[in-house]
Order: sequence, then C-alpha cells, then structure tokens
Amino acid sequence: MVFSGLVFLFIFLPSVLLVYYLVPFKRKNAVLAMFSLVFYAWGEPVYVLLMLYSVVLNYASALIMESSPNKKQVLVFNVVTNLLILGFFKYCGFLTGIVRDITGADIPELKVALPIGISFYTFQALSYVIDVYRGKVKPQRNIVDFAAYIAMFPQLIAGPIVRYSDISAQLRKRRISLEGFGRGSMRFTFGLAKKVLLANVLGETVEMLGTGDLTVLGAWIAAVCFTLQIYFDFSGYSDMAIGLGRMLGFRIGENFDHPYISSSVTEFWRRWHISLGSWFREYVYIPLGGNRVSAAKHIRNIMIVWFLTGLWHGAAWNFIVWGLYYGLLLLFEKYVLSHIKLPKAVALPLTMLFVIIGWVIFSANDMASAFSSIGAMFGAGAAGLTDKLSVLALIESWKLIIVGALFATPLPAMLCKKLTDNEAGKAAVMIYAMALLVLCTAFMSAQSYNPFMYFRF
Amino acid sequence: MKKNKNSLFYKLYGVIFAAVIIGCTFCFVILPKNEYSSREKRVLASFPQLSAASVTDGRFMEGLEDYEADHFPARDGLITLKTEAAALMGKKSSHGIIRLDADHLAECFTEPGAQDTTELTWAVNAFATRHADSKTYFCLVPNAVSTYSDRAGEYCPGDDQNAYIDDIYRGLSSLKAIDVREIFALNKDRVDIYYASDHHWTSDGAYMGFLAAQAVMGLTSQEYSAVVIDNEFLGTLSGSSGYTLSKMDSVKVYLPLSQQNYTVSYDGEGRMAVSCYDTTKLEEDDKYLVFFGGNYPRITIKTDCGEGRKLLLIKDSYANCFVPFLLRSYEQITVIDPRYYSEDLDLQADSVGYDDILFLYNVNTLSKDNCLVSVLNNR
Repeated sequence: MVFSGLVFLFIFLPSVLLVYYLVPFKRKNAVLAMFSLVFYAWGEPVYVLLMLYSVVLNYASALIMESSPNKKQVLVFNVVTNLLILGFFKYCGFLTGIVRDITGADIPELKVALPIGISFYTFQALSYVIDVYRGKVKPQRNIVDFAAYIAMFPQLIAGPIVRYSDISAQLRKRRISLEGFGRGSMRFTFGLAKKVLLANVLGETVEMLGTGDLTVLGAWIAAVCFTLQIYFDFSGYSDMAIGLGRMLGFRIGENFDHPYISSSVTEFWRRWHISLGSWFREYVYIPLGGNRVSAAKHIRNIMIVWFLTGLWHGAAWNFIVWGLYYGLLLLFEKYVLSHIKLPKAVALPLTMLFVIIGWVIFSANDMASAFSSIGAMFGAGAAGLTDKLSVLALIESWKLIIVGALFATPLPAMLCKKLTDNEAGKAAVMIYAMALLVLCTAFMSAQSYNPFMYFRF
Repeated sequence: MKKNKNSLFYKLYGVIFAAVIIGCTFCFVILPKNEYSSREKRVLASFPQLSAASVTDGRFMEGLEDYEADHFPARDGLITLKTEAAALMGKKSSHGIIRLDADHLAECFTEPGAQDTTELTWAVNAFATRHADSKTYFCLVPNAVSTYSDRAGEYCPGDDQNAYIDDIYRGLSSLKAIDVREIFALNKDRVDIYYASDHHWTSDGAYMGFLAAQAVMGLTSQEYSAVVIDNEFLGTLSGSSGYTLSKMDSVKVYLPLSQQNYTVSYDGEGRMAVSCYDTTKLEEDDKYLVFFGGNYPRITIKTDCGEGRKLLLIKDSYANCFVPFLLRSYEQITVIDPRYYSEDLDLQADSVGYDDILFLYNVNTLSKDNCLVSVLNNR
C-alpha cells in the first residue's frame, strides 16, 4: 500500500487509528504489528511470509547470540542469511545477466519480483543484530514488539531506516497525546502534499519528455524536474512516515534537511537520506577504519561505501556508477577542494550541477541513455536547442519548478514557524494545511498518475 | 504560555485531520453507490470479489483502489477541483483534452506509427480495387484541435492532424479524397463546427462536410431549416477531462423544407423506423445519440428519391449526423460501423452492387481504431 492512495488515507489509516487508540497501551504494539502486516500484504500478499521469516530469524538470532559462547558465528550466519535473502530477491537477475554477458553462457534470466521495502527492513534488521552483538542494545524478548519494529508500517517501504537503538525505549514506553497526534498529522499533510501535488505533477513532465531525442532545453527540463520530483517524492514520503510515527507516539529521526541548499557534495550527503548515510557510516565505513587510516585505505573505504550505496539503490549499472560518481566527488572535495575556499555563490550552483547530473545517471534506464541525456544537456548529440515538445514542457512546468525550488529551501518552514507566533498566522497555517489536504484528496481521486519511485530500492 | 498556545493549535488540527479522514471514510462506506457515471459516460468499478485467490494475487486490493476512486464522496467535484488546480499549475491538457478557450474543449491527437498508417491505406486501397465498379471516396474529418489550431496555440500538446490527413490522402491512390479543411477554414469563425463539450462535429459542421462532399460526389442538395432541439448537452470531453464550461451545448438538426419518405432498418435487430432521429435519446445524457440512436453494425435506409443510386457508407459516429444530408441523393444507403460489424463486407458490397462507396471518419477515431482494417481485410 502507498500512503498517497485513497485506500490508505480513507480506509486503512482511520481503521488503524481507531483500533490503536481504543486498545490499552500494552496491546498497542500488537495492533501496530498486525496492521503493518496487512499494510505490507496489501501490495505483496505472498511476501508477507518473507517478512514474517525475517522477523523470526532476527528475533531468534539475537536471543541465541546473547546466550551463545560463539557470538561471532551467530552474527556471521545472520548477516549472511539476511544479505542472501536481499541478494536473491534484488540482485539475482542482475548477477545472472552479468555472468551471461561475460561467459556468453545461455543462462535463463532469473526474474524475481522485488519485495517492496526489502532493502529498508533488511537494513533495519541488520542494525539490530549488529547492535546486539556489539552489546549496544539488549535483545528484544517480546516477539510482538520486535515485529512492530521490523514491520512498522510508517517507515516500512521507503524509510527512514530506523535503527533499533533509536526506538527500543519507545517500543516499551512512549507518550501518546493529542498534541503529538496533531503535530504528526500536520507533518503528514505537508508530506502528502509534497508527494501528490509536487512530485507526481513534476513527474508527468519527466514522463512526457521521455529520454529519446532530447533537445538541449528538453534535457535540462527533464533533469531539473526529476531532481525536484525525487526530492519531493522521497522527502515527502519521509515526512509522511515521521508524521504517522508521531501520530502513533513514535519519534522517528529526520531523514532530509534541505539537501538542495548544500554548498558541497559532502554537505549534500549530510542532508540527503540521512538515515541511509548514517547506517553505512556506522556499519560499513567505520568498521573498515573510516578516515583514521592511510590515505590509500581511506580512498578504498570511501569507494567501497559508495559502491554499496549505489548498489543498494538498485540492481543496475547506472546505480553503481551513480554511487561511485559520488565516491569520486567526495574524495575530490576531501583531497583537492579542501585547500580552496569557493565562495557560496559559486559553490552552491556548482554542487547543484553535480547533483543534477547525478540524478540523470540515477534515473536513466541504462548507462547509454544516461550519457546521451547528459550529452544532450550540453549540446552533444542533442536534437537541436528546442522543439515544440520541450517548449510545451517548459510552459507546463516553469511555475512548478519555481515553487518546487522555493519549497526545497528552509524558507517555507521558517515562514510557517513565524506565522504560528500569532493568532492570525495560526489561522492561516491551519487553512493552508486543510486546503492542502482537500487538494491532495482531489488529486488522489482523479488518480491519473501516482507512480511509486521505490520499487527498485 | 507560548507553548500552550501552540499546543492548542496542533490539537485542533489533529481533531480536524481525524474528523476529515474518519468522516470521508464513513461517507464512502455508507453513501449509496452509482453504477454508472453519466458525466464520464462509463460504468464505474464494482466492489471487487473477495476470495482467497483474489487476495493472494492482489486483484482484490487493486479492485478496491479502483472502487474507492470511482465511488469516493463528492467525486465529480473533486475531479473538477483537480483539473482546475492542475491547469493553474500550468497543465495544458487533462486526459488528452485541452481548452481551446473558456467555452470550448478539444481532444488532442497522437499520431499513430507509420506502419499502422500504411496498413490502413493498403487495406482501403485493396478494398476499393476489389470493388472497382463502385466509385470510392474517402472523407477524413479533422477534429477541433486541428480546425481551431489558432485557438489551441502553437504549443498545443499532441501531434499535427494536417500532416496525418495529408499522409492518408497521399496513400489512398485508388480513391477520391473529400477534403473538408478548406470549407472549415472559411466558416470556422462563423459557426461552431464542433460541440464545445463533445468530440463530435455539430450538424452545422456536418453540413459543411456535406457541401464539400457534394462538390466531389455530385450529390443533390436541397433547402433546410436548422432547428435547435436541445439546449442541455454536456458531452464526453467535459466529463472525462474534468474541465467545466460556462454553458451547455445545443443540439441542432437540419430539417428539409420538402417532405421526403424513407425507412430506416436496424439490421440484426429487426427494428424499423421512419426517421433518422430518435428523440427519446434527448432524455439521456449523451444527446448526440439522437442521430439514429447511436452506432449499429449495419443500418439500411431506403428512400423514395427516385435517383436509383446506392451508397455503401463505412463510418464512425461522425456519420450519424451526416447521413440525413444524403437522403435526396440515394435510394438505398447501407451504413456500416466496422467497430460493431462482424460479417463479410465484400459479400455485402458484391450482393448489392453499390454505385458509390464512402468512407467517413474523424481523425481521432481513425488513428486509434483498428476495426476498420480487420473488417476490410476479412475477405
């Protein structure tokens, strides 16, 4: 199920909330776990078994690890199993394709439907068992509470990746209040608006332009619209997750901090998908030695982390290239640019340029079309400067590009905060949020276009 | 103190939000459901079948999404809100429909692949060659988006119909083309050639088409008086786009000044009529059905015009309001709609021995339809 659909907002959510608020506190995690499984089964009826398996596997691993003298073996077994499951469902087709290309052997292509959110919940589970191994957290003895953590529907399919250590206390005790519910529902409303009113509508322009035979103007509009689309899609989803969590009494950490105002690529990755970045730092980069090693090893560490980051986003070469591209950019910033101080007026647009090019690689179907799109942006192989289609795309999208660029900055949130200082301002924010909710409902009812961007993650 | 004030603000929004989602869910569940949307002219989704199989493969879930979208409270209003909001954001079209101006809608055109066009012209040419005793004509009527391209603007979504019409006519070597574009261009600002809210041409438009055909086919003309028979027509373009118009369309018919007798036989239905007009359809939403009551596989019209000529008309719904102009010229007219016709068209043509064969289509139907090719090729 996706948050931006009528069935979620007008059947599922009211049902969860009613039951969740009616049962006594000690039953709330069970209600949450049960509804989360229904939520997951909605899109993937069969894979709910996989989800249950993952719950049992990680629950049992942690308990066994606690009492076993061979902690390390249990950990290795668990991590390998988790990664094998992820690998089988996500990377099997990709790997058999590579083997076939290299050997020329006639291997049938293995196509397995990707269980939604598997990359997210596998990483959550890994954070749990590794933290138990490190002694950072105590294993969870209540399997219902543990299932509520792994399957928790707000962040189940598109993050944020909530680490067990951040939420274990809340599973036992959390404050559920009307004020928290209200804050959560406002956060949810803003996130929904980002997804439905900005990301989906910008996505229509991206789709209209397609990828073939782009003009210079068309290639830029497609790149800029996708840049905004993926930000509002992803950060909108995180906002909805955080808001839903808040409605249920959970405090989930922020996942985005206005990445498009960054003055360096390093800063961009501190602001973009924060929970993924910190997961890789905690469980890959630092265990490899981080930056407290020789330059050569540091470079190796960075490239490993960014290769994996790319691969995590999808089983295709362009994701790997996209990850390595960021690895190289970060190394360049660290070892070359750190000696030069660029003025903000140069650094900010330059960072955005690299980010936009990154998204072109990310969004392409394959590397060939990524190169042809990037080429077209700079005139190489472009089908002219403009044509009717790209001018039409500009006419249709310029307002949203401006609005989108504005909403990618912290200004709207600052304005909102300022407005709530006085009564008239509060009324304005209230009406604004209600209008967004109605408008989102209208857009969802007309349901012409509601893609889900994370199927490949 | 300040914190308390904000707390009240969030509490209030929490209550409103909960009331909205619970209220809408409640209304959705208890309100009576329509089976048919008169506005969109389609049957709405029914409640999906609940079974182990339909849940396992996800059909139930997909069905429920469609069902809720089709039966959501105040759906028509929400769709209009969406369309107008999207237009404010800059969208030029909604579901492939654009606004020509405040009062006129038009359907955009997507050019089919070159292979489809070749297959089509080949099939029509071959049919004309097989029936070389008859004179074969082809009339391809552009849609509003093309005729009123000046209103649609330079950057209208979709492709150019003129190039497509030229391609088709160039491909139809064995036929005589009836090109209505010139007469449309001369009259388009004087009369409404198309309904403002519907994809069909008006009777005024069809009359222009008749004048163009008359010059090529040597048809008999007569005097008409145009009579408005309905003022409350809201066509499919308005319904399926969500755009609202300031006024409704009127439906006009051209009545000949001199009386003429004819019979209309709906073949296969065993039904006869003595008029081209089924005025009971004016009670329905789709007032264009007044012409012959809609589309039928085969209609045979016999007139007392005494000319002795016979016409085979292969057509889409544009012909429904065009046929009345032909009654003075032919003693027998066989009207075939290939979308519903499943018999042998060659047999039909051979057994009657038509003087003329006319293909009458509008561009948007012809370019999307593949029934014509299959009917023509089914020798």
